[in-house]
Amino acid sequence: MAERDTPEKFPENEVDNLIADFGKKPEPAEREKLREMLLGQKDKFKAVESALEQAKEQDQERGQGRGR
Amino acid sequence: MPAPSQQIPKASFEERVELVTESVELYHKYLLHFVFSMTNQWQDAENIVQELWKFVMVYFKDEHIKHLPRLRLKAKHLFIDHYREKQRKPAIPTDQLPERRSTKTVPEAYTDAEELRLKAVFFEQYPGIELSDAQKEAIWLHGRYGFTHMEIAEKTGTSASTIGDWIKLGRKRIAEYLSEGGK
Repeated sequence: MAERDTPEKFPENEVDNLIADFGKKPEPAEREKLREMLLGQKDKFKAVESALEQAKEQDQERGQGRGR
Repeated sequence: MPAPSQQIPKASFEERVELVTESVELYHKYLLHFVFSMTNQWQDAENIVQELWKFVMVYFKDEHIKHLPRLRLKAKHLFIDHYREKQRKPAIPTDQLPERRSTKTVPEAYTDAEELRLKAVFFEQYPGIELSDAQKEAIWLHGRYGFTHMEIAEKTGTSASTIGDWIKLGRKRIAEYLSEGGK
């Protein structure tokens, strides 16, 4: 599941809403809950990081193989 | 698992928590209202936005964590997935998103200094955008507090029709900037 790369056009009629809501922080209790939730992603983050590193190494090995 | 060609995030886990927290502070309310405009249910909207931040934390490239168009697009995809998963119909079809008005900031909600800082931070997100300070002020007064063109004209001494043009121009330039990926 990778991040998709091509965001759609931002509608002009959304700009006012963006300005109205910009920088409005969640309530303290909600902020705390969100932060806990982010911290809870550590294992998943590490697993993805290591899968990416492994894939990168494999790519490099394949590249060296072709170079020979 | 991500595609092998995807970049390995450069920031550490702790640094990413800080980056995502900053993004939450800037855009959480906007994204929540955006998703709510599709779900018409706060609980679903809150769940979807929570899923969004988890996804951002794990999968977004560092430089995209505060990138609004990507956040918005991912929120929309999560909304679609959410209803597909539950085999429930959304309140409205996804290709017919209505225009919505989010609650305007009550001028007293934040201190003047906080509002000034937020206004500066908002326009910092659009470096190089061609808008004068007066045009930015008009766009901010209208979008942030819901002042009419006439009210802004009275406050600033500029004609209401010019204010209307400036607001239109500002929406266009900001939307274009965001659509072009925030170069």
